[in-house]
Amino acid sequence: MNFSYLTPNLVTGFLSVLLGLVIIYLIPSQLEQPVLIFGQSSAETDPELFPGIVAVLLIIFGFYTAIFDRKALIFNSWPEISKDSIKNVSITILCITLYSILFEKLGFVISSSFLILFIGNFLGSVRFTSLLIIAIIFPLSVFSLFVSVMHVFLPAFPFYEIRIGNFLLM
Amino acid sequence: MFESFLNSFPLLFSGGSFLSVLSAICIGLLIGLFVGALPGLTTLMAMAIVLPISFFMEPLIGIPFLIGVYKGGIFGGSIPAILVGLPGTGASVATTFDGPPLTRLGKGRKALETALYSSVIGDLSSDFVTILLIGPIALVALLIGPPELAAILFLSILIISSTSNGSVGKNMIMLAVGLLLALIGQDPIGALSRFTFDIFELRAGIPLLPMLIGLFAIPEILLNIENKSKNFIKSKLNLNKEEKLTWNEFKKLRKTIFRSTVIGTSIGMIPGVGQVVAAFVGYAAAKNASKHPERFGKGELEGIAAPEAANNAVNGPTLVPLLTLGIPGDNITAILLGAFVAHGLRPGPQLMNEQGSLIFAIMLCMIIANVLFLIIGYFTIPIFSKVVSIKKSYLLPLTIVFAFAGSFVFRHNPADLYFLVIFGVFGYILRKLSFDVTPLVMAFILAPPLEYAFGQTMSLGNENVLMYLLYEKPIATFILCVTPLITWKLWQRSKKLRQVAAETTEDIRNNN
Amino acid sequence: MNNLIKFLIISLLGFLSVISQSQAQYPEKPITMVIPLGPGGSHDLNARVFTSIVPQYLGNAIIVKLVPGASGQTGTAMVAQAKPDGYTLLFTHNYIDQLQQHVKKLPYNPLKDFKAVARMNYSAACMIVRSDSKHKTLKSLFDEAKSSKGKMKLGHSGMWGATMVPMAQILSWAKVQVNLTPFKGGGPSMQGLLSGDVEAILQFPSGINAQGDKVRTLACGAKEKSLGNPPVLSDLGFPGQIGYMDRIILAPAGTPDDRIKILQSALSKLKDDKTFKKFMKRLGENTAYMNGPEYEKVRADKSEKYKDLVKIMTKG
Repeated sequence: MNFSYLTPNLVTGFLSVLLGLVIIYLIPSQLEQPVLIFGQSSAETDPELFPGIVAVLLIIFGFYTAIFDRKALIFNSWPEISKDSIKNVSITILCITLYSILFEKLGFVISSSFLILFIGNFLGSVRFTSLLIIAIIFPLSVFSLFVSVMHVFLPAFPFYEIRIGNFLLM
Repeated sequence: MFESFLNSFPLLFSGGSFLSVLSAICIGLLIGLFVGALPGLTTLMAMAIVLPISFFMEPLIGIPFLIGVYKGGIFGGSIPAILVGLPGTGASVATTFDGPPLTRLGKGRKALETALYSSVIGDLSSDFVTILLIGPIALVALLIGPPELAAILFLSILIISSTSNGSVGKNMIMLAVGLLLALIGQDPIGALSRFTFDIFELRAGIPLLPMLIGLFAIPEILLNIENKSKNFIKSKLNLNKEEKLTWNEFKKLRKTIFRSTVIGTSIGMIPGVGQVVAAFVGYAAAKNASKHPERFGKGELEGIAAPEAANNAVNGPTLVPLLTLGIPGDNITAILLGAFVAHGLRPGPQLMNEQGSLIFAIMLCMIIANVLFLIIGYFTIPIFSKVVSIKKSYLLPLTIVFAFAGSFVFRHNPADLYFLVIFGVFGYILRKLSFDVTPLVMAFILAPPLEYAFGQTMSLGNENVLMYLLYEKPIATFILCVTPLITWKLWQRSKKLRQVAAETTEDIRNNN
Repeated sequence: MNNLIKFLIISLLGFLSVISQSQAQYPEKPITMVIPLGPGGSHDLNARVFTSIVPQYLGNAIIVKLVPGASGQTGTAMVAQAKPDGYTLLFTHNYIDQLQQHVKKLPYNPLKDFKAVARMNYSAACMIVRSDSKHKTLKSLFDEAKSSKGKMKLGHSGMWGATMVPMAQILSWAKVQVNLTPFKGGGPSMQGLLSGDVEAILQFPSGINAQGDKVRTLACGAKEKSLGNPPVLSDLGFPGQIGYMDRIILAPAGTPDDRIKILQSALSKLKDDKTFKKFMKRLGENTAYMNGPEYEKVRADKSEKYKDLVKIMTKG
């Protein structure tokens, strides 16, 4: 498996050039054209100028990195990642993705509790009961802190108008 | 003017109201500290919320109250930055470079104290300078028009990018990617959509705070999770006795703090640049001047002192355009303007003439606020540093919840959480591949004002921009000419450092 | 264990602070008012003033929620999609509400998706120059504009904003071409004027008053006593109202009428409140309240006028 010439810098450089080309391709379709005001363009600079500059920069530096820094010795090695780390990190990423989707639907408190429970348990070396308690108390306190004290909003419980006596949870 | 200054003392200290002023400042500081420590809750938001309360107080109590919130908030943001790598505000991002490593080494309290002392010294010094030089500083504000600002911002991006770790090519790619990300959304001048792919959420552009939290905090968390079982057993060992900052260590930081204060004060005088830039430039300058730049990012106390002193030193001069010309330089000064106006005071040239002593009294309050801040900070730091002594298995998920809550309340937009996750993963990959994200962040933050100032310059230059710059705007021309020289010098230096590092690596390899 | 207890106490305290009086009728809980602009602006200030006083008339608080972005579209879209139960309102101005639809593709229809609750006040812009400028009247300004063949520089505070549109209207009425430079808001445009980058700008009286004698007012959109009664544009021949920024409160269409009426009665009581009037005067704003139904007519009317204006401006 002699891929030793495929250093990260080479790949990065290549991707950079690719990105630059993609941008150039996208420019015509993705830029809103300025409206004319009394015959003069309302935009001071051509809207294609800056995206164009960025694309050119990406291409130039991409080439530079790919060609000149290809064999650089520092900051240029593929990271050594064990299978374990990959597993841990992927599970975590999956969790937080789910969390961000469920954040609004299930409400802050419930989704946070689940997250804490799951990841805390996953990380290990904790007693389940204390984890459970923290998983419930912490989101609740952050919630009341943010909402009632600071009047900033976090999505509440998913049920419409939960009340506890006179106490309204929005 | 000098008379007003002298008259401010009796105004401030007379009667029993001084005590109320002090307590107002204290409460403000505590609120600011608290809010700053909660990521996602910006100082700006906090000031906007307590603003109505200040309406019903006297101006000499209400305005120092708000100033207290402001100052507390800036330091507050450094607390989560140091302890868990969560930048509380944009200005604390540079503190996340050396903060978490120090905490991991058990030096969390030292780091917090360094941040506190640097912030206070930077702030105090710049307040003194402001009071003494208020006239000249106001003149500077009027001299800096769009062309000058564009030139300065351009120079800042280059300085910060050329002192970053890693290869030039990679840094420049990061810079370009940062520019690209800044493009997404509406352009600053005409509000024309760019690269939004018809997704409405992208129309407002990429939100800053979720992106920062994603790029800096999440990779930190993921890195911790990589080796889950090994880390967590060890973590309990380090934090039994929290070490305080020793006098010797503090003495070594003197030069860095001085340099950063000068940087911060200068940047504060230029309306439109701001704390974030000051923090990064301070960090870059300290790294550049150090004999061991490779230690930065691994737990170097200088790496905390530099950005902290710089971003606090911005505070004093920033108020000058507001107080002397009535022009708010940024959102925070705009709120202060609102507070003034609600009290029937109209900051501006008229007010300086009519009520100069009141203005100077308020500036004295800024100095008092710093002193109080030192005291409050000193006593609250041990409490904060204890927070991270809980088990990692608890700390990490709680940090994630915090990060998400903070990202959400920034704009109340659920899409921001997706940005958070995307940038989190992106940041993790970049970290693994030894990319330095600083140029990306700098470009992202500075590109919109740069583009705006550039567009204004084009407009002001009528048809012939080159002539306009040369004849009417000598300062801008000067800065533009000096820029390539400075960049070249910095580039040379970092090339030399890289060569040294490469040779060392080569030696190590050969010896194995 | 220690941490647990701390958290328990904090959350209990948090809960206790939220317990509120039970009210049988609207509003039973605080109302959210979205401002689609950034903090610190005059809108924000106006809102903070009246939300700090209105609870005593309304029976519950109005909480300001700042949702800036995309020239006001983000915040407006948020309210357009919110539940029309009277607990979400929009505090915006006429340019965002009535003009923007003609220059941008919006994901909502302002006139159809929103109902006017009230106009809180209005502000009329004024044309100002530096006090050391040679122009003492509007006419002399226009004369120089004509003779400089479009090279004279004026400034405004943002595309399609509250000073840009009136500026364009004035210039097209006077039939002059100038070089218009954008600035990021009222403050920076004032700075541009003072430093000499531009010759004249439009600004609102509250900002002008702060500058004292550093600037001279050439004309205003409405009578302005605090500035020494400069000539009013309509007296100089300009047709119709100009430079008026109305600050308006809107509710999502479909909000029940009885709830809107409750809001309106509280707001109209507010305008006579002494403290409210005091603060508004300090801000340099008036309290010219206009009721919802009346303002709806203004909305429709201005919307048409802006449509025509945009057509003329963009025809080239």
